[in-house]
Amino acid sequence: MKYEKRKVWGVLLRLFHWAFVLSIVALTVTGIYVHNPWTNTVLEGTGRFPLATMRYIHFVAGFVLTGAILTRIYLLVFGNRHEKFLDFIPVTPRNIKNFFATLAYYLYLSDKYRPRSGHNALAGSIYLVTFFLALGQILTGFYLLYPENLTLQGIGLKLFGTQQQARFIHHLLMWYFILYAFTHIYILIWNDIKRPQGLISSIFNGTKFKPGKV
Amino acid sequence: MSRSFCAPSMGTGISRRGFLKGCAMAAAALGLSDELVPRIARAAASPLKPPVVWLHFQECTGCSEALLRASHPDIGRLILDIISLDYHETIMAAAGNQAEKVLKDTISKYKGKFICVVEGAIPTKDKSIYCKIGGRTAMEILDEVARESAAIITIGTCASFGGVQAAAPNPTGAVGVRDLIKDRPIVNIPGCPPNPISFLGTVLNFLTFKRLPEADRLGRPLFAYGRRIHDQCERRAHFDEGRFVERFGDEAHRKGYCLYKAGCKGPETFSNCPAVRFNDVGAWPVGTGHGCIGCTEPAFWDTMTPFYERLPDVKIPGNRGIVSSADSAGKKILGITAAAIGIHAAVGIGKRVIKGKADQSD
Amino acid sequence: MAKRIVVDPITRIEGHLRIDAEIKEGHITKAWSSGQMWRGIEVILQGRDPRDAWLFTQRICGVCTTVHAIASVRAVENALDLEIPINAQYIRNLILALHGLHDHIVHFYILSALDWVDVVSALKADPGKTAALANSLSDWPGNSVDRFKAIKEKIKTLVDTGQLGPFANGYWGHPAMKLPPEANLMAVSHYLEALDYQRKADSAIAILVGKNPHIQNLSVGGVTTAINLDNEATLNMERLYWIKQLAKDVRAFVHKVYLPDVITIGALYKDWLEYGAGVTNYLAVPDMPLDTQGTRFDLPGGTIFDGKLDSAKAFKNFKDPYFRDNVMESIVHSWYKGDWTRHPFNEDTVPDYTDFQENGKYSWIKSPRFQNKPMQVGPLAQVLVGYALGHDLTRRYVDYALERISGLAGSKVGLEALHSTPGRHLGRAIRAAVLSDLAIKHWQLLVDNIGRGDTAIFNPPSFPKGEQMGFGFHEAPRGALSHWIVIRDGRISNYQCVVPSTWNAGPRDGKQQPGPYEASLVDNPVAIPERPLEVLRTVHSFDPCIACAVH
Ligand code: HEM
Ligand code: HEM
Ligand code: NFV
Ligand code: SF4
Ligand code: SF4
Ligand code: F3S
Ligand SMILES: [Mg+2]
Repeated sequence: MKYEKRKVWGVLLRLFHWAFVLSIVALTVTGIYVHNPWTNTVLEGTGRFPLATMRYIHFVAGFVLTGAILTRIYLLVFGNRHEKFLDFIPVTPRNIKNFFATLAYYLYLSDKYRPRSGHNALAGSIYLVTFFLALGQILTGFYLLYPENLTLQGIGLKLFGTQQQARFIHHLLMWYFILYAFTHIYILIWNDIKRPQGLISSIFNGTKFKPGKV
Repeated sequence: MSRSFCAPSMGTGISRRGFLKGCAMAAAALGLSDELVPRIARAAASPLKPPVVWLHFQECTGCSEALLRASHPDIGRLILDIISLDYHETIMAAAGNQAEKVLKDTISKYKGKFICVVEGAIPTKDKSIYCKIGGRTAMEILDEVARESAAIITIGTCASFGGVQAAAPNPTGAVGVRDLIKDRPIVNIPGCPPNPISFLGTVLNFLTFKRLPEADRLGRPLFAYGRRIHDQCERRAHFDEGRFVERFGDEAHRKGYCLYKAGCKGPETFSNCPAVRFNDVGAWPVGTGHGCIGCTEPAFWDTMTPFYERLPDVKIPGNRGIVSSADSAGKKILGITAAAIGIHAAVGIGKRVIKGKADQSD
Repeated sequence: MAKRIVVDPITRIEGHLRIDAEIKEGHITKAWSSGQMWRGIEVILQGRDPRDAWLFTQRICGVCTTVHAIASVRAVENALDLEIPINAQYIRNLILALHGLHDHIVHFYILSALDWVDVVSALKADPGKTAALANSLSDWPGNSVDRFKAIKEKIKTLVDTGQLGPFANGYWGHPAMKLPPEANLMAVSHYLEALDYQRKADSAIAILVGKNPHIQNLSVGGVTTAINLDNEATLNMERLYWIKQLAKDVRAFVHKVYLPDVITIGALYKDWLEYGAGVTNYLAVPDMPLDTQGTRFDLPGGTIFDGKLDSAKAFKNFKDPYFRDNVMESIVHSWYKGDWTRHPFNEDTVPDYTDFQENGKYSWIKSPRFQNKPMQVGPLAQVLVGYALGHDLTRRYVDYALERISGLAGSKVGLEALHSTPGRHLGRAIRAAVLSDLAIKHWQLLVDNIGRGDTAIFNPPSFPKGEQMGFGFHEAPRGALSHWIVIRDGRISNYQCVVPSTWNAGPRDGKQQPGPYEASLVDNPVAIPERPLEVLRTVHSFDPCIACAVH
């Protein structure tokens, strides 16, 4: 069989992906620590500052995440053909069809399925939701980080409520990302096994394969 | 809404004759001789102590009680020298019709010039019948008094945001003043009860500079609510250092470590408690070993509970009445997801075994 | 012809109370007591974490702050059968004693004195004679000619401004006002001093609890006041001593000002000793436990029926079935759905408002009953029960007070005079004296125990699956308070508060027996129905708290 090699993901998008992955992993680990700090330094005067350090990492990762999301938002509009949001959200008849076809395929209801070079519409929709929730995480995060800023306070109060409510939302959203990561990686492996598309390597080198006409 | 306006002036808007007659009546009511009438008239025409009308609705009087404990100024000085506390049900001498008359007279005499202090929430359900005074509902009274006031100060989380009676399921539809009154300047002094210093600071600010203090987006003065407890707490160093009380009375507790893991809501609560403290003895809740419960925040009875946990309960839908912590809910959902993934993979493997080959549908 | 009056709002109380009275020939023939505000705290508690309940219930009342907190943790501990460390017991006792002192002082001076004291008449007083009068009663340093002069000047300035503030439109010059100007001036001076001393009691409490009102140092299983003599952030000797000093200051005020003032006013108004008895069944619960389980107490509690001291029967411990099994509440005349009389564990609280119906439902207050009888609760009940059960401290102060009243009144005033409107004030002042001694005692017990190296303050609760029921009682400033909890799978499934002012201010029950307020008003004189000062006197003598009564 012959395969066509296609360039799908630009450098920026790949950079985004890995910045996103790393920051979220860091944020989740440090976030869980902040929620329930398991160390208990009973020694005074040691100056190790475990909680302060974890918070510091959390905030640095928070800024990385923010940069990543801003990059992705730019690409949603100005990226290459596959990176633009219209390519993968189920609003055109073609994408709507693809959305349900993918769903049926994933649920083993049908074997008829045409893979895409970019994201399929189901995956694309989930990614978009993920970007949106990451934005929510960023907003709640900054609201918590700068409590004395009255502009942020105004926005935070309107969108989320008090600091405690924002923190609660922030915490619940963390669970979304944990769940997302698990299913995301599973589906990738599943797809990679089912189809020789080079799906996983695409996020490293930017190219996917499409079975060519014989 | 303008944050600055004129303080009460002395103009009363009634004629001199009517005025002297009023003074004579006041003298008579006091059992004083007629010769005192000109004295009273002179006094009443000179700059006044600002009149204050204090309304009590759905409340526990803890906020008034807090004021009783204030020291600068103390309550005696406050009500005899600084303001004229014309209506306050807990301390006024008059009762019944005599009290109602005082309220009416104050409002009509000082239209647009008196300060209205509200303590307690206002029930809005069932036409407000859950709180009546002198035969009228809380909503009627608030509307009537607030309309004529120069400004409103809400004292306590009840009057500011609804307070304890507004906790789920809020059986009486209790709300704070800001939910009902939109056209008067309102300063919120939440807390359950608030530190009287925060209330008095606001009053003194108003009397001295003739304007209300700068406030945050919930109408709380910045001088008292500009910062979170956690950012001013003396135990913060222990927080940063990861030194926590795990259980009341343990070694860490007896060393004065951070109460974060005992549910302290200092990180989510705006208040000056660690800075100004209570009752003139340098005390505040965290200082004696109990976490902050977030008493200056809206809806804290629902969002800060359980008080001994970090985050509120999550109600798992479909499972009526079952309450869980955010994390056990998260872990349950994670478990379900893992199971789903397992089943999905198993089905895939099963199909492959049956078909013997990866599908090649195109 | 009977005349009907409505006094609404009753002021100088906590909360929203309406009193209706029928007056015939200058005397009250029938009265109705009606609570005018409901919040639904018992409903709000459903489904919540039992460890949080005390913080909610404490907000039932900010005047008797601390008391619903204490009753609540006791109820949960009772349901879990959880003992608390002895330090926690002493700390709670210290709090409740000091709070009782604050509350009684505020009640007498700020809330009720103006019923008996004519502020304006004080303008006619001679400061020298006032000092002579005051010094004949006690050697309080505040009773100087200079101070009385200054106070008189202060009243004059206030009157001169024409802005009388809280004193506007009071009952000045009312024919029922009988004190000589000097007694009035002395009382006004003490009114202002009382403001300082009530604050000292609160400061002492705050050292233990973090803030006051609404203490924040309890927990189911003990207290959260960390004890460590070698740390600056905890209860150490410096703070302990501060508490003692403040407590001693307050004690001096009670002994040298409050008690003598009540004795004097009682003697000068001795014609009132025949009014206001009302319900003479009395109920008090024991308090200030001396052990970790609540089986020995420093304050006695029990019941007395029909005013007969020899009928006194004690409540023995925190689990006593004599208390547990005999309390019921009726809602026949209250704005709740149904017309039942039930035990608190089986009650519910479903609002059903009808407006004021003099023969139907007319109050938000429920009607608690003990063995189906209305009971009067409060300091007087506790003092009478204590006297009847032979409680030393109580006996000593009662005998002392009656002897001094008799001396001042010029005729023998016996124990039976306590069943009256002024008797309730006297009972309260006597209880304050008892509490002021016990505060110091329990401070010493605490310090001695800490000195032995015991710093335990907390036993963690654990909530087993299934159902547990518990009740906790506490002798609050206004009398016997009890909280009743049903816990299912670690959550509250029912919570009921039966509160002192509910006992006293409740409406009639299913058998049409009036509550103590209603009964005590009957036969009271009313000189001017349009200015019903006498109604205030009797109602105030109970120290009403309507936020407590309806919650
Ligand atoms: C997916 C991304 C993120 C995850 C999973 C995450 C997770 C968490 C978690 C679990 C907590 C602890 C909350 C609690 O339960 O008490 C937390 C706290 C916090 N997060 Fe994030 N977070 C994320 C992104 C961000 C971002 C972008 C910011 C913004 C800079 C941020 C700022 C904060 C702040 C300020 C806190 C409070 C820390 C404290 O007050 O000690 N987070 N985060
Ligand atoms: C180490 C494991 C991971 C690998 C190998 C991987 C690989 C990939 C691949 C191949 C795609 C493109 C899929 C497609 O074409 O539809 C992708 C997309 C994506 N992945 Fe991952 N991923 C990993 C972990 C994660 C994690 C942990 C997250 C976030 C929590 C994440 C978030 C995303 C997002 C948001 C996209 C959409 C990219 C876009 O359109 O901008 N990935 N990933
Ligand atoms: N009644 C009553 Fe209370 C008291 N003392 C409560 O238990 O006042 Ni607010
Ligand atoms: S805010 Fe708190 S203290 Fe003030 S009235 Fe409401 S419940 Fe009472
Ligand atoms: S005790 Fe509370 S407010 Fe203080 S540092 Fe710890 S979490 Fe923050
Ligand atoms: S509970 Fe309230 S009093 Fe201060 S410490 Fe917390 S805001
Ligand atoms: Mg009740």
